[in-house]
Amino acid sequence: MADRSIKMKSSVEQCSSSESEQNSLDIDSKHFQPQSYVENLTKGFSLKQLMETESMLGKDITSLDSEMQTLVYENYNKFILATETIKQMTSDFKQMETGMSNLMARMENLSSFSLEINSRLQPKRESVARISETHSLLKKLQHLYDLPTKLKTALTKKNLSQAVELYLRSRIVLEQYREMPAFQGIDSDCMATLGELKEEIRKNFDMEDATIEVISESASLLLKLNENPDELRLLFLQSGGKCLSIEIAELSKEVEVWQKSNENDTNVLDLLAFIDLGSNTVITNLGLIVTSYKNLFKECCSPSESEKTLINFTMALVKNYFDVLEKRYGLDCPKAGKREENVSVLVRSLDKLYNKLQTLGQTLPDVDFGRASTDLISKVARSLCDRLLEDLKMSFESSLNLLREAIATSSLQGEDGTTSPTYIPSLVSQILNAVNQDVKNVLSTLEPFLDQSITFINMPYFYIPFCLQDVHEGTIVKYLSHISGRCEEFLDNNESDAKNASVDLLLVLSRMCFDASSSTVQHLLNYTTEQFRVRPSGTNVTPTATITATFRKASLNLLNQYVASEGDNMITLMEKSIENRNWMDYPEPRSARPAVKRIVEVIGKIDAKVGSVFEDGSRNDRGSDSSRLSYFGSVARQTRGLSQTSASSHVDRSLMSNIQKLFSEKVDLTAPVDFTKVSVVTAIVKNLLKAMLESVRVITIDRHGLHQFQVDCHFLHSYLWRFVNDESLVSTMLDDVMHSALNRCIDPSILSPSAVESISERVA
Amino acid sequence: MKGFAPARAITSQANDTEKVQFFVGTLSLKALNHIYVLDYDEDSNTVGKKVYSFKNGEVWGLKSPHFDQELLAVIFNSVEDSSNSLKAGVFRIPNSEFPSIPIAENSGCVETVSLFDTHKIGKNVRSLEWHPTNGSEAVMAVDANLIIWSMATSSPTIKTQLNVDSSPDCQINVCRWNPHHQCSQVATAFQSSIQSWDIRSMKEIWHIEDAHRKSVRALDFNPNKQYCLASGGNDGNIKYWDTRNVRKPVLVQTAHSHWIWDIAYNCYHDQLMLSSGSDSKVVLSSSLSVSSEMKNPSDSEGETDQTESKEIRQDDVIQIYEEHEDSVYSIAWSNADPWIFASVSYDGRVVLGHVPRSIKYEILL
Repeated sequence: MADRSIKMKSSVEQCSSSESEQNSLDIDSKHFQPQSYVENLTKGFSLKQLMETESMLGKDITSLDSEMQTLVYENYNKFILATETIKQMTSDFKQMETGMSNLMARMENLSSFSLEINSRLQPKRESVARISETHSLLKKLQHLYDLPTKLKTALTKKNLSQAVELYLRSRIVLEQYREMPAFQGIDSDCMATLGELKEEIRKNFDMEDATIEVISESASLLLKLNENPDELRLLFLQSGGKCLSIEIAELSKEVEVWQKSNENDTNVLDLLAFIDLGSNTVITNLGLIVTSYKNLFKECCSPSESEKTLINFTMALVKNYFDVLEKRYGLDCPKAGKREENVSVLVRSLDKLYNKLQTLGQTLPDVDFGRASTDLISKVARSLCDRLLEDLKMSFESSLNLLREAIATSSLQGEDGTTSPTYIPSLVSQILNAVNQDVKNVLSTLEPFLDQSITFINMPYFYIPFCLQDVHEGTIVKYLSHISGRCEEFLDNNESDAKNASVDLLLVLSRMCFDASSSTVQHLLNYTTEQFRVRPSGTNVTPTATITATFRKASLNLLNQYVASEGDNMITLMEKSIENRNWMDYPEPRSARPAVKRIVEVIGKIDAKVGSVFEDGSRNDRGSDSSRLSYFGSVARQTRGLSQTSASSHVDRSLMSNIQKLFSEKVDLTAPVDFTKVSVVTAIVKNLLKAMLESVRVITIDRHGLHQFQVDCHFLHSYLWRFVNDESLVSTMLDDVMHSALNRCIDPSILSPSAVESISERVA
Repeated sequence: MKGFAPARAITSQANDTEKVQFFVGTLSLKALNHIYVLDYDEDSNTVGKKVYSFKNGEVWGLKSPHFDQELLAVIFNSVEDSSNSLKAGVFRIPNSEFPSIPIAENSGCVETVSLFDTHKIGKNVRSLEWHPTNGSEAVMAVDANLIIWSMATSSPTIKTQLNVDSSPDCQINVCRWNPHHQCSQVATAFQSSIQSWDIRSMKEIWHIEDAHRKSVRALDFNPNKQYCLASGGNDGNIKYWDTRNVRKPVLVQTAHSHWIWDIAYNCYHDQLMLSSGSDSKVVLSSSLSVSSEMKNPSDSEGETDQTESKEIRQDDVIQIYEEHEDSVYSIAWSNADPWIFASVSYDGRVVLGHVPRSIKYEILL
């Protein structure tokens, strides 16, 4: 104790030494030192301050004094009270001590009595125990004797599970004492009943309306009765399968009802209800079978064997179920079958199905139900895409018909040929818009497949193939190639379509394909990619370039066909006007022939029409005057050649014409047409002049006929040069015509250029 | 080879199968016209030329009969004051003893055997053909009329006559005798349609509307295979038809960029088709799939890939001959050598061509 107080003191001192400086002046502190405080006061304060401090201290002291006094009084009172209480307690305790010793003595008495009683009762207790043992044995025996009857009653009451319980309880005993004669009777009785019992239970399996619960209970009962588990296993599955088959058959009846129904039939289950029904009956019960099978047979059979049987069983049933579903989804007869129109309902139903199967899959992890159901979903999606493709094709066909009608009516009205310059472009944009809109509609129809909340969407082996193969390839690309193919059908003039196709239609379609190849195809494919967020890649995907190339080709073919068809009518006009006429007795020419004027007029209209569809394109402009002069020059040369050589000297003349040919460019009839107005019109003009040449060669003309050709050629030249990309082309071809005309003339003489010009201008 | 006058008719001498011989006629309104006889000597690879003057007018068509190598049916343009018409006659080439010489020299004058009396029927003789086997008959198209002539007498007499179309402007472009069915059928082409006639009853057997765009200009029957007709026209396509079902052509080949004026089956190997047109081209094409040498599918099953390799090139253009500079209106296969043909263009140039060696071996082996 002394040690500790010293330690405490020193610790206080240690601590105070650091703080003593400041605290020595604080009057409330432990370390207050009056000496230094007074010194401090006297040093630092003025007399007045000192006086104030003094009086304040004096006040403090008196107040403290009075407080202390009150405290002392209060505590004194309490102390007196406590002392009294203690005195009271001491006297009470003395009384209690005597009471306690009394109690102790009595308790000892009690314990000795109790021991005595215990020893006296010991023998009796043993005999009671013996008796009760015998009793229970007797009871058991009684039970055993009663067993056959009880079993029978239970059996007759159809209380099968109770019967089994009864038997099981006594089975061990029976088996143990089977040899004893007393028990043999019971045993054989039991066995007989048991046989009946088993029969009865087995009947459950064959019952028509047995539920899965009944079956699985029966199976478990039989299992308890030590039936052969392998046999039971098969029996169980067989019976369960039967049960499910009935349900599937019912579903398929529903499907038949649905197939026969029409739109407004109300007693038909809609798709969602149908799937619910299927899920709640077939799939749920299948799940039940699987779980009970596993519970029942997991111990008693070799696991691999039993698992295999179960998987086969499940697969077969799921397949049957899917067969029914496929019918319901209209996959069995893709053309005529009825289908679900609402895509979002379709998707939701598929999702339900998928989720249900996923849960079933959890009970049987070895079977990939996801895969199987995804296959079904893919099939449904593909058939949907096929249908949409058909719709698209139909829609395109109707747009085509609209287009043809529009062209037909306009050609009826516009007899004067003055179609407005925006007319054909408006038709082009109309049909392209229709195509665009149709594709977008289809993609928006497919939107439910994009819903992220749909579980199967996230399956990679569904979504990517769906987007690429079904939507991108199967629908959009196929549609586009259908369009280009359909357009090309207008080329083959053995198709009835082509015969009825007007030339304007060819022009519109050509422009449409041209636009498609340059922008629309790219746009639509990009749009598809955006919508479905899967970038087309891989070898199965048609590259955009291939499709645009097809359109480009179709467009060019159509344009060539247009050139040919548009030219044909004029060629016929030209041919007829030349060939069906007697040129041997021709009057002197007064103007260009009406057919020629008509042709120039028509070409002007064609030029305007094509100009409204395609850009002008570049002309090889060499100045109109010089070119016209060069044409005259050529005719003049011919004239000179004619006048210089004698008429009979045909050798020289044809030689000369051959030499002349060496210098003039050969006109290439096969020059490819491109998508410009000039190129198109040039091609038409070339065909026309070539036809004129061929026609001239099969007639025989006199000098006035030749003059007429001079006038016609001049007329044609002065009007046609402006439409073609190279004026020299018109000159060359007209020169050829004039050469042939000269050749076919029996008495050639040439009009002077000025005369030709004046006759020709008489008309203009 | 180059002639100086324009020409649009060539034919192969059809009687002597030893000589590769062609007849060409010139076209001149002002000067005297000539018929050239061209003999090709394969050993020396030279062409002998004999020239006979032809006084009746321009030569528009030539047909050599199969029974006489000196006879020649000619369509000519006769100009009589202020009118002209296409007429026809049978002429004899004088059998000159002196050998043909490379430089043209007048070897004599063509003798008139008989003239067809056509001026009552129509203005222009458009097409003419000898009966394929019987020398005493010929078929002719005059404007829109089809006439079978009996040639037995000294001057031809009309055996049967038929007006194909009553419209005034109608002109038959070409008529061809069908060598099958006992030669009882004749096909005609006018405008864009082809018609076939039974010449015994003069009834239509079948017709093809819109066979070619606007005009059908050439017809030829497959000499070795029944029901097989080829046609060419303004669309530059050769079309092969099965006459039992004429709704659609069996095969279409785009051969020319302008009108086709003449087509000819090779008589020995009918998968070879020759065509010419106003694009100045002569085109040799193969049409194995519609030829008589096409194997039956059942036969080819047993055979190996040899046939397959052949099939690859079956319906192709084999070769384009571009030696001409003007429209080629007439072509002819040689009757003696199945691999040689001749064509004549408007500028008077005659080109002898031959089937490429590789094709020849392919067909023969």
